[in-house]
Amino acid sequence: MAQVEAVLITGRTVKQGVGLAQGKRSDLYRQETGCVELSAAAMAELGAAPGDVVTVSTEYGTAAFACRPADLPNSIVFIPYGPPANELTGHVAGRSGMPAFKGIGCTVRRDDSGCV
Amino acid sequence: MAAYEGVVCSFCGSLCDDITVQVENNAIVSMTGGCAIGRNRFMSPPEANVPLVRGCETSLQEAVDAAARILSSARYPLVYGLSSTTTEAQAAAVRLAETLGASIDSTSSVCHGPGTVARQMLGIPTCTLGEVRNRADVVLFWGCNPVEAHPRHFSRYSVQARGWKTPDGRRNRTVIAVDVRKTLTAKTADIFLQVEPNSDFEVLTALRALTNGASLEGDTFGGVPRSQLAQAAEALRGAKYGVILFGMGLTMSSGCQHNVYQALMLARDLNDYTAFAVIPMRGHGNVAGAEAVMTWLTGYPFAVNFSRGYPRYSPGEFSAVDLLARGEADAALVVASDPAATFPAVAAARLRQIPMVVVDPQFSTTAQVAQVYIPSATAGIAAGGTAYRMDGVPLPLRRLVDSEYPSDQRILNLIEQGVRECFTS
Ligand code: SF4
Repeated sequence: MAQVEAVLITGRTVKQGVGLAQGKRSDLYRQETGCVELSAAAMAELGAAPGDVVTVSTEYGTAAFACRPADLPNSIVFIPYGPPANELTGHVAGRSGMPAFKGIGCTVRRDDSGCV
Repeated sequence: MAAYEGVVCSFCGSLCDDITVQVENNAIVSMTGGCAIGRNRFMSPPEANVPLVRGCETSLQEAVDAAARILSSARYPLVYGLSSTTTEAQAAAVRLAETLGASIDSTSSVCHGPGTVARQMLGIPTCTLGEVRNRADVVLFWGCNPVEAHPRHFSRYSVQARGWKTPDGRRNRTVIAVDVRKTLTAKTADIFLQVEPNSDFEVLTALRALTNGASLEGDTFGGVPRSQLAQAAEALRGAKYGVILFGMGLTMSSGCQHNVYQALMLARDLNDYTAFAVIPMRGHGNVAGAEAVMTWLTGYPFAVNFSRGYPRYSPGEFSAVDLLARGEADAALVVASDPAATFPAVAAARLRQIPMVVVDPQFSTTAQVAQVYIPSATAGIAAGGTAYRMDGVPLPLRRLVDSEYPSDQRILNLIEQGVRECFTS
């Protein structure tokens, strides 16, 4: 199975914010927080097309996302804030209460199950 | 139809106060001003929710009584959230936490808390967003993406905004962006420094050295070529009035408070040459208010514990994620926040295990797993009060429509009354 090693960054997007304002059960919020952004090179390495399902794993957990290309370095993947992203983030002691939300090592794999 | 002008949108820390809202038959029918997020905030009323105890519909009073029983019988209750409600409700939550001998924490601990810790160590040269609009000719965005997170920040305050010393808006400003991604904010910048993840401290240190005229060995620092850093240092020193606006790219990356400390030191250095200020780009509408209120009432901004009858402060010990991840909190009251959806998995899992009371206009992910859910009137739409903008300026939130449920403040006062009765019975 093709896989890519990268660093995970989570953050805000306009669609995530609009979805949040509409309510977390809105289709927009669910769709946006269920996406992962990858560089074009990472997409090619995985053999993934936009919308294909990939799994992202960190030392804290694994979750499935629909992938989309973005202007990113090959070593970075980006996921909008939301419940799926938080499956991958972790509590780290000794960080003034701040969990690891950014800069976490991760592995992205192409998922053949087809469901997010 | 009633029209309200100068309404404040309290979704994000920009607190835009130029919104016009039309109300008809107790519903918002249109709004002007505001970004796409703000528009959806005003135009998407929460679903009609009802008080629930263990999933069963009940009255407000029954739900308040159940909440008081849960919280008063806990050995280590946690009060959490607070950043999307009014300062009046935040003050009520602090009083309730004190009555309970609980720990109280806001979403600050998972956003800008490390920046607040850095400010406590060093102080902060700061200004209002009005000064940014009227004076700032060099604007440095570090680890923040206002185009997506604070969509009107550019036009109202920091980039296109026209002011006294900036009559031509964007043309009067040099914009520098620093980020690990080429975000939409970075794409608009005159100078973009793309840092490697978790390298902000290194880049800030190198930038400080160059700003102070030191020579550096090495060609790149945290992924940034020295020539780009030198260009940024020159632009910073050339400012007539500069501002550093930082986001969670600093507070959440490796180094956390040390990154912000270094950014504050950069501003301190620059004040030897020119005028420079720093403003944290606060996310939630009233998270700045949560810190202000907790500081007035307890002396500390977040992660406060009352178990000894007086306030103690210890981020990393009394912060919500830590209390939950260590399995210490045995009951929780969550106000205007959704930690089950936003906390790391281990902390969210603990929340699902313990009895929890949720006070929120939305039937959030957290509300869905709570033993008690009490719907409240949305702050700034169905409940009035005060909110603090990211620069610490307090602004009034209006009640535009009536809600069948009370404000967060009123509900928290009722729960506190119930807790006192449980303690004395
Ligand atoms: S920028 Fe923030 S405060 Fe202003 S309208 Fe948009 S969401 Fe509301």
